[in-house]
Amino acid sequence: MKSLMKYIGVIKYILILFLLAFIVSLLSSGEISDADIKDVSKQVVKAYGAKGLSAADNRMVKRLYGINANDYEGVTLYVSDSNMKVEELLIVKLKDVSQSEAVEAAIEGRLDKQLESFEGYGVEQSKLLKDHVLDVKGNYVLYVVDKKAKKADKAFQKSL
Amino acid sequence: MALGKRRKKSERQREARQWWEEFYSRLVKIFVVILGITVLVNIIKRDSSFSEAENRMLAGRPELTWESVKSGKYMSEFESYVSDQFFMRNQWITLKLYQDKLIGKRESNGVYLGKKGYLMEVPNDPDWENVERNVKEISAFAKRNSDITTYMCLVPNASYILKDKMPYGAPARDQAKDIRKVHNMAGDAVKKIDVTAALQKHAKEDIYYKTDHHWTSLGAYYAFEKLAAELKISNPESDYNVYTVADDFQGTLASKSGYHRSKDIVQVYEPKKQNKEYVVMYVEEGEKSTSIYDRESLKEKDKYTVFFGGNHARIDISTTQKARKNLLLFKDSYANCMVQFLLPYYQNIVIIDPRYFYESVDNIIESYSITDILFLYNVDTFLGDNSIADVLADD
Amino acid sequence: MIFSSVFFVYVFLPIVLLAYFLVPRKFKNLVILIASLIFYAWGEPIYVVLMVFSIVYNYITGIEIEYHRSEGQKRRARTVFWIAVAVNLSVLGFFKYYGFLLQNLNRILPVDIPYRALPLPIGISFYTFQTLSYVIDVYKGNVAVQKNLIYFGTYISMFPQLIAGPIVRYADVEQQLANRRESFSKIGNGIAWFLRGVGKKVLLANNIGMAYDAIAALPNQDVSVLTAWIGCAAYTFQIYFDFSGYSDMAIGLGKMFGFDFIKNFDYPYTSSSITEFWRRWHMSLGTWFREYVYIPLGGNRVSKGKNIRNIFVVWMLTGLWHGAAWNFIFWGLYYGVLLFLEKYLLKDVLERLPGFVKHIYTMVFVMLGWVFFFSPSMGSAFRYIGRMFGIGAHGLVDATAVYYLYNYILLFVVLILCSVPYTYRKFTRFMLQKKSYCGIAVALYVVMFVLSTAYLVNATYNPFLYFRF
Repeated sequence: MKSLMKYIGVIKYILILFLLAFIVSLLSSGEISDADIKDVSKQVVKAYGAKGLSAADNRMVKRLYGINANDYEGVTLYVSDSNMKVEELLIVKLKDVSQSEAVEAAIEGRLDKQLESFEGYGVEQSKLLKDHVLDVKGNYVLYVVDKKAKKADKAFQKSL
Repeated sequence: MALGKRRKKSERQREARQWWEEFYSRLVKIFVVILGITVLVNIIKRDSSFSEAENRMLAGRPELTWESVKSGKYMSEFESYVSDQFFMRNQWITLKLYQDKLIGKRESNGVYLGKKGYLMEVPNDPDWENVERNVKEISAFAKRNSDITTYMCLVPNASYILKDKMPYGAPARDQAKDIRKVHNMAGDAVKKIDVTAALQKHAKEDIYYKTDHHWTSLGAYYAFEKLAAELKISNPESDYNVYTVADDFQGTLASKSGYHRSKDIVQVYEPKKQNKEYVVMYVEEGEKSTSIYDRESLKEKDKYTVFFGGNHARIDISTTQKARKNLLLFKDSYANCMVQFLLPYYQNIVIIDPRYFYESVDNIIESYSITDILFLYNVDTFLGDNSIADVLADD
Repeated sequence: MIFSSVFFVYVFLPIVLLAYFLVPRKFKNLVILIASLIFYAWGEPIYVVLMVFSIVYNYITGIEIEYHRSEGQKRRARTVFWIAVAVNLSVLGFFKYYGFLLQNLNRILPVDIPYRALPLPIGISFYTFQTLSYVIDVYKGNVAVQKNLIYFGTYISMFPQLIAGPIVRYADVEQQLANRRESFSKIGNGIAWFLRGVGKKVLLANNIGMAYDAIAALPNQDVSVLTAWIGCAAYTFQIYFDFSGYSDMAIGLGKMFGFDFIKNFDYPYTSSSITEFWRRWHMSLGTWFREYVYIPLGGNRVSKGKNIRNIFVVWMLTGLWHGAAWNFIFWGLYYGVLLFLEKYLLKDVLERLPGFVKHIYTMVFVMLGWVFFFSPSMGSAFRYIGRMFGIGAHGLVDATAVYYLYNYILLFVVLILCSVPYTYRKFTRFMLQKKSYCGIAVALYVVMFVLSTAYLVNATYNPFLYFRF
């Protein structure tokens, strides 16, 4: 019994260590990736096809998201060829992790605006927008609106 | 005596106990039956992907992946799947609306249930910061193009014009005040056209749809009378062939509130004398048409889209008008049914919906030698818009 | 997952009930444990780790305390006990108050410490208090140690009361974990509790909640005195029917699985003093604080000065328990002051007042208390109260007030009827008259269920107020 109790005592401390590790992992939001944003973008685009999309410049980033691309390590934006379509792909590599909140807010702003624009009459667009993927992984942010958004997300996570 | 009383009491207690036992056993049985049947029906029932009544796509069964489970996304999607595909969903929703009605609610999901079958949108609180930004850009834009006259026309919504059809005391914005405020912001560079009085004069007529947040062609016509004078259109048409193209229109407010109790008619107006030939070009889509009306839309739920088939980023219209007048129209969907009135008096009309348009407008002004610029919006959309400034910005 | 959702009522619950009644007795607790962990993981899956930690850690602690005590090592037992209290409170403190703490530190300090606020694990305030009740009672020798990990896990994670109480003390369910009997009558009773709870939450709380939301969203200058009172009354009813409805559902679900939980609300709005109000409102929390904080501090068997200290410690903690914000702390202290006044100064005065005056006095202070509860900040709370008394209000009565009164008057009447014991008592007494009325009573419950389902299916609007705690 006595030896068993010692054993149990040890488990308890392991548990506490485990809990601390869990909290630390929650606080540090994912790891920093060195991957080049060009490679990441390429792989994501390859994985899901990005049909009907074409690359847009930084001016467009500013226009659609209200963020300045030069504030970040890199930004890739693909937009639909037609403005009546909502398919879109945005990948941002952050300079430091604390920027993620601002980027998320920008993306949500864009999303809300789009939802509002298409609400009531763009049934399929609304559905696509609602099913968007917004994924923050360390210093990378991904935002996809597409039928195959989940596929894009998978490729995104793999490429980091 | 005391004994009898006690016996009576214990008798009563026994009866009460029996009553409860009976009650509980019946309740268990019926609860099990209800749950069982519901579960079974929901399993057997085939999923539908679109809800006509709500005018939206319904959630489908989500894909099960480790990632989606870990993030919790799978669970939330599954929950909306279950409630979207619940058997007899529309009937349940109707039942809910009856209950609301019964307890005396005059409001459903942001829509007022007005008198005489009118549904009216509860106006949103304006985002004044954005409004100021937009108006500033509009007046800067007008100053930049000082050789062209820039007009602004804000159309009040049903909740303001049809005050007597609102539920008594229902909070609504004083849109006349809002319009004045915007006008003051805009300064002198912009010419303002106020159609409020013109609409108020005809408030007894069907100038707004009962079930949709738009105005009717008739409403647009009364506004056009005022607009024509301000836009210096000489000799505007007053004689029209009016065609009723739909009589069973149930618009966005019906979907939003769930109340499908009234129906609207949709009419289009064709000038009798000044009818012009024209070509409509949907620039983004690269499509051409010889009509501003879209017949296909009449088969769909949202029949207001008969005008241009809905909203487009940019529409160019060229007519056989000889006079060199070219109009650049910035607008929301209220303007869609106004174009039929404006059309005969311009050689070219370029229609821009800033919510979907991201390119530069400066070269449009040049290449079409624009002579008039008009901002035509309904008040509610204008006060909530955050896209105008970006399109006009000088960069 | 919340109870008042189509998914819970028509998918999760049927599956769990089926599994529970199909498996042999030995495995019944295991079914509840597994169901509870799934239930918990449903919203924020990673936090299930926290739950599992809490179960295993406190399980071991219990065994250790028991062992040391049986060996006569009192000091060791005490050390283990205090460590356990510290660990449990630290976890709660970290997840609940870390963001609040840093936010306030940043306000005081010249440097800005960057921090990432974590989402609050659902129900952490509730289950931490449950584990503490176990650890404390084992240490004091009030209950025997639980050697069965599954039974212990079942107690901590039990899904009926996991996310919103009632806070069940281990002592209350100790016996039931090992031996309990499900019976037809008990299940039926449970179903009745559950359906009443659903009705309270969905038909009453959610509907009146819309009135509150609409009024809260009005621009400040458009709110008249009457509108402000209607808004406050709406919230007063919303929070009661929301929370007590949820407790009723929890109690009902417990009964379906053979458990008896203590009741959490006893018609609090019929109270004739603030002291009485707190004996009737969220009773399981009040009991907890009395048992584990107030009495250990000496309760009222100490000098007047210490007693006052004890009152304020308990009420500050009560406020803080409700949320990491100054409003809640203020709200707690507000009740501390009121209870202190009632106990030491107003006692005689109150007793001499006629009944209805006492009711009005109680309700006015309870309603003012809720203003601190629902306001996003202290400033807005005081401004709201100002409007209730005419400061900065849009007149005494305006068209908007009439609109909301007219819209919700019927609902208010129903709410008042459901806030007093008279209605339900009258109802049962009437029904008990004849055996044949039994069917009518069942039918009424079914109708209530159907009506609630209509709202559930349509539920874009189904927030639960006590989720944040």
